[in-house]
Amino acid sequence: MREASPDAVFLAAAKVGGILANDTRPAEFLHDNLAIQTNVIHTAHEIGVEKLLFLGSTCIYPRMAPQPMPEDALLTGPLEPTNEWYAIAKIAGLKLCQACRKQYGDDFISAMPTNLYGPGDNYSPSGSHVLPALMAKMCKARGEGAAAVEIWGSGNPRREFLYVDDLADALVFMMKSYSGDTALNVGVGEDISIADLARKIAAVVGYTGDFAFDSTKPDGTPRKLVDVTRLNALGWQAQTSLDEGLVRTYADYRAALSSGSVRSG
Amino acid sequence: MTGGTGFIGRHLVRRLLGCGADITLLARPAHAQDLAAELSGKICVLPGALDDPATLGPVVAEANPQIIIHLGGYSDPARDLSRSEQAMTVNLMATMALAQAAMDAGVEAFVTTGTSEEYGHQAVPFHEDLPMKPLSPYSASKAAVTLWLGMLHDTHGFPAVMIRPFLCYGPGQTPPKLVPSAILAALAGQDFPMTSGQQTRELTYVDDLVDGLLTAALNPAARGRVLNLGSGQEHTALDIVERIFALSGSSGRPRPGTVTERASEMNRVLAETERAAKVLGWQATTQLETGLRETIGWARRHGDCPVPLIPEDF
Repeated sequence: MREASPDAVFLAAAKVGGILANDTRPAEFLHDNLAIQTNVIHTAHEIGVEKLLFLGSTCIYPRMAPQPMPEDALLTGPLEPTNEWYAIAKIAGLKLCQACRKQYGDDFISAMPTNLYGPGDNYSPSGSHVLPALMAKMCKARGEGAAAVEIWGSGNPRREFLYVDDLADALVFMMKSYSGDTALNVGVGEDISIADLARKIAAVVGYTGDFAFDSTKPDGTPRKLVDVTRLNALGWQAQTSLDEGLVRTYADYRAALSSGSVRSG
Repeated sequence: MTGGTGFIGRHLVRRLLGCGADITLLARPAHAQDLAAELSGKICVLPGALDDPATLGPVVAEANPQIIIHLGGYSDPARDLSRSEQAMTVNLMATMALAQAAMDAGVEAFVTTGTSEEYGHQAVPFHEDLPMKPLSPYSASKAAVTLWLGMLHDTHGFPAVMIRPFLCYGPGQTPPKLVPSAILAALAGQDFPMTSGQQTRELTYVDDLVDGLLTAALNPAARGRVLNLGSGQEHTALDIVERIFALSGSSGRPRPGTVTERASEMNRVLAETERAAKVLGWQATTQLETGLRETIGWARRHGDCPVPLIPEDF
């Protein structure tokens, strides 16, 4: 970092993974993330980087946080146990940014993005999140002329999805015009039920069959989205509709499938 | 979109509506008002005529599109030269005008369709890098469009995508194309006079083609490229017609050898589709039998009516 001598640093690197990975390798998730952020944030302070933006995740909020989750829900209750190792590290990271501001006057800020999707996503069947997983299932069903696609759960849970280019835009916006203590939520401020999401994806990929909702499978939390009032008030808003984001993701997904660049795990 | 009320255009519009796209259609001035009323605000309509290229720039400026899909054009593959000027005006000159306006508007992609006939008499399968050897004013004008858009891309970075569809068929296509002509005769219980039918054709189902157009429009790696979209399923024309009569349960039958072949008829038409597979991840998934059943089913219920632009459940 000394050699590059950057004016500003985006700290997006982290060790990430799903529930299973978090649950089976808690020490790695805690240690690696603490190490990554401690090294980068501390070095940025030492060499006098003018501004640093640290990326976290909305899993830093308590399991029973109000929905939409506001920034001041932080540390008001116990975390979701399945990924608390990762969450604890991220909370330490945003606290380190706050501490550097308090003790040294460093302009280090943090952003907490909601669920992301878009080109370059992890489309592998084993490791992917709900949105790419649904897309992959429906593409396969369309190709095979399948009559129905199975979807885990009732389809009722509601989730929020932020298009990856919108996050990039928000981060640049924050880097330019936000200097504050609070780790800001980055999201759309709107959620959608999994059933409605499935319908949208079906229209995009041209799948015309039915859905079989398997209600014996767990639904997870009924609703999860962030409160973006603060970032909106600063003048930033997500620009990409879910419709547009999905169709762009679909084009990328198809190309990724054929080029063998679908990441696994 | 131009050609939005044509056979392929209608299917693409329906898919795009499902994707939540904001669509503006170019329509002939004489029909624009009626069409706008029919679409009741769900799709925007602007009047403009491909045979009057000077009118196109202002239309594009008004629509201010993110993406242009240019499907409209002159599509009569007749070999005689009597309408050469019309072919060049409607295909080449109109595309030049649209492309210029698209450049001014800063579009993300400009997708247009050529024809497998741009390859002419060459050994199959046709690879995109083969020289163009068009056989009619129609395919010559499309080849000229390919050259023009390729130049705009290479010299000016224009995001043109040049799709070459291979004999598209599906619900709502109308005669004189082979598949709908044969289907309507079969359903009417009539015999079907045709050439020997020994020439091969590659039939591509319209849903598959629409999928290719959609992904091509949004894939940055497609820009500046010619892309064949073909199913990879080569059949003789006679085989296609016989299948149609069998699937229709028709009392009529094909009458091969009763029609003289068109001058310079292409003996085999087959696409090399590796590029589309690699760049777009595109592959046709509809088997000929499935596609023909769907197409015959539509004709049984709706005759030679095109599919409606707006799906009933939309």
